[in-house]
Amino acid sequence: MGTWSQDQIDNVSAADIVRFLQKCRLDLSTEKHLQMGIEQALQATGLPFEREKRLSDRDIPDFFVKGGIAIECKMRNKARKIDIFKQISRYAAYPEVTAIVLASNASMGLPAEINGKPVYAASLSRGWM
Amino acid sequence: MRTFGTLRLTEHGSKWEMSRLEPHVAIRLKQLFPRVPKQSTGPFYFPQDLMHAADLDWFLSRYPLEMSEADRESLTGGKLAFELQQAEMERILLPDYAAPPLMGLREGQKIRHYQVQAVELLRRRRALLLGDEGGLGKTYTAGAFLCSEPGALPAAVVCDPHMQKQWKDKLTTFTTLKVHVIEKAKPYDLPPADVYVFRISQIAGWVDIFETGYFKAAVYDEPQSLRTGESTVKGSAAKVLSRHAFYRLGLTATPIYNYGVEMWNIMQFIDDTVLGSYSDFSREWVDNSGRITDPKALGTYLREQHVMLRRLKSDVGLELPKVSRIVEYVDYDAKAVQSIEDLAHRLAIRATTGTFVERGQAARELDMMVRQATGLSKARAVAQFVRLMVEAGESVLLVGWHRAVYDIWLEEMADLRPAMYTGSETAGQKNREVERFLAGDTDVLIMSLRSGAGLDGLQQRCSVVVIGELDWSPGIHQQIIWRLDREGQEHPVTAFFLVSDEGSDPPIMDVLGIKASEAHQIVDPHLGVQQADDDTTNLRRLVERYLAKGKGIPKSQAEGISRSQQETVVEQQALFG
Repeated sequence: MGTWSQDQIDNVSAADIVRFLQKCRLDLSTEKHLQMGIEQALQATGLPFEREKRLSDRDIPDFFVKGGIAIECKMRNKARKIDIFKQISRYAAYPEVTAIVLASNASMGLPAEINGKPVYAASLSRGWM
Repeated sequence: MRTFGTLRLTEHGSKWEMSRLEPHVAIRLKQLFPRVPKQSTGPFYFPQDLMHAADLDWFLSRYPLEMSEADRESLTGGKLAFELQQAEMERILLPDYAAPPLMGLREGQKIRHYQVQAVELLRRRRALLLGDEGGLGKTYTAGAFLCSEPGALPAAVVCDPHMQKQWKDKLTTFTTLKVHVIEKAKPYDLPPADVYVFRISQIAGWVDIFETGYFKAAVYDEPQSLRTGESTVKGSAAKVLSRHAFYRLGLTATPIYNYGVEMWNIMQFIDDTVLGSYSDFSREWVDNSGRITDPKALGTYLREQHVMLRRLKSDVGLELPKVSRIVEYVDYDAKAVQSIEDLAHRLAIRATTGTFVERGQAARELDMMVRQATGLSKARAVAQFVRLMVEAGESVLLVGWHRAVYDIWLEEMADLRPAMYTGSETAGQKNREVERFLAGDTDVLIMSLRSGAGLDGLQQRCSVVVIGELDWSPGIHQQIIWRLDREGQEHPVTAFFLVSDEGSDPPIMDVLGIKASEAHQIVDPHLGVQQADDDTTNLRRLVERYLAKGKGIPKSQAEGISRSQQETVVEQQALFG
């Protein structure tokens, strides 16, 4: 795992984040371990990000990457899919959010956009194949 | 000196008994030793082994307990022996460890430094799970140990059916040991030999011979086949073998095929003291849903006990070409599955409305059907993908699971005359089919997901593996990839997982991720977040080479290939490129 180039960092897109997360082999034993793993992996890239960004008291994405990309981690069988959907729909309402990445090891269908903001699912199982 | 309770050896010196603990000390004890049942008020029992001697000695330095002079000596002795043993093992594992020369190798044969370390560790520890990454020569390590340790002979090797011949070949070319391959599942007059190679399915019949202690060492090749534990016929026979053998060695790079708790079962055959009884183990390591609470900690513990030794290729400076793993989505052919899905539909209704027993059975059948249906739905696209590889000049190892899927593959690729290495062939037929593939008579070898563990030689012939059907166990996929990613491989290996985003593949992938993650934390606790290599250059190169041949794509194939190949590549470039 290496540091990203300045060019990659300046032009980072949600698709880059998805591709990156799908390659990572993250510890899926608990949500806490998963978040620690993502934090460690993001740090290694040199990409600026915030942990637990408070959009409001209720809406706190796990990671908030430069350019307004919100990353939400979800473990399989720990939350109802409809609740996950509602949660990221709320994120999409904030002007500072430009795109949403759902990092999860559960396969889940998502619309391509919510509120005009692109939504991506990063399958964390893929890296383990 | 103030004491807080008593400690004594009981049951002929096999256990420590701690009793009459003051309540606050009992609370601390339970916090420090998770194996102590929380609800128990004592007495508490600990096995009399070196590690517990060291732990108890440490506990007593804080909370002295009343004990007899003889017991005190025994505890101190155990603690010192523990420290000596740790120091000795650590010395062996140092990079500059100077190993004594090994006897018994054939002239011209050499043993590598990391292999000698394992040999010496086993000689002292007497029980070892050797988890070296696939391709590091675990069979040779076992051979070097057996030929250099007279106390280990005669030895019994227990392996999968297709590995018997390979064991004999490897041991006889590498060492001067005399090897006999067991022919029957019933005892007969054994010819004189040093090593007897059993198929795992044969051992149940030999249990009376095991009972006599005839075999001084037990070597389990891929002991994960014993992951179902002692309750099976083979498991109980293996347990007898282990109990009477002086040395016990397990060889596997993938000790865990499914969930981490399998480690307890495997350890029953290697060293049943390290993880304690199953209830001790559950209390200490397992959460309510049967998952390992802290898989990293379990992995670290096993290493510290020196009961598991694992080196990666990079650890020993063995540089092999890299492995790329590429997940490709292929078309789900709805027509191919219509009839089977009708049946599945009926089963689904039964699974939701039937009686309890019916529901369970229907759900299991449904699971099998959906998996087969998924395999069938992809079969044509997979065959096309393989054809594309072959026409680009590659030879391909193609892996699947269902007979019905093989039938479609065979039909679609009839002109390529694929070799078959699946559950339908006998051991002899399998060997002949592999020969045919190795000799270049065909460019495709179709192998069953669960048939290939340990098979050697394919790496000289091919570097592309296509996984056309998924297994529920990530260890199986790794085993398959190691058939190619091993010493002798000269090209970068590419593993294609051809999956569909419908049917059973998405949930199987989810479960694979969970299992692989848990197993990885136990087996390699200190590696941190790794990145899979999903380099598609090789794929692109192959597609280009194929297109450059001016073949174009026949219309009948256009759909499968255009989706799975070109568009996907283009899509990947657009999305990820």
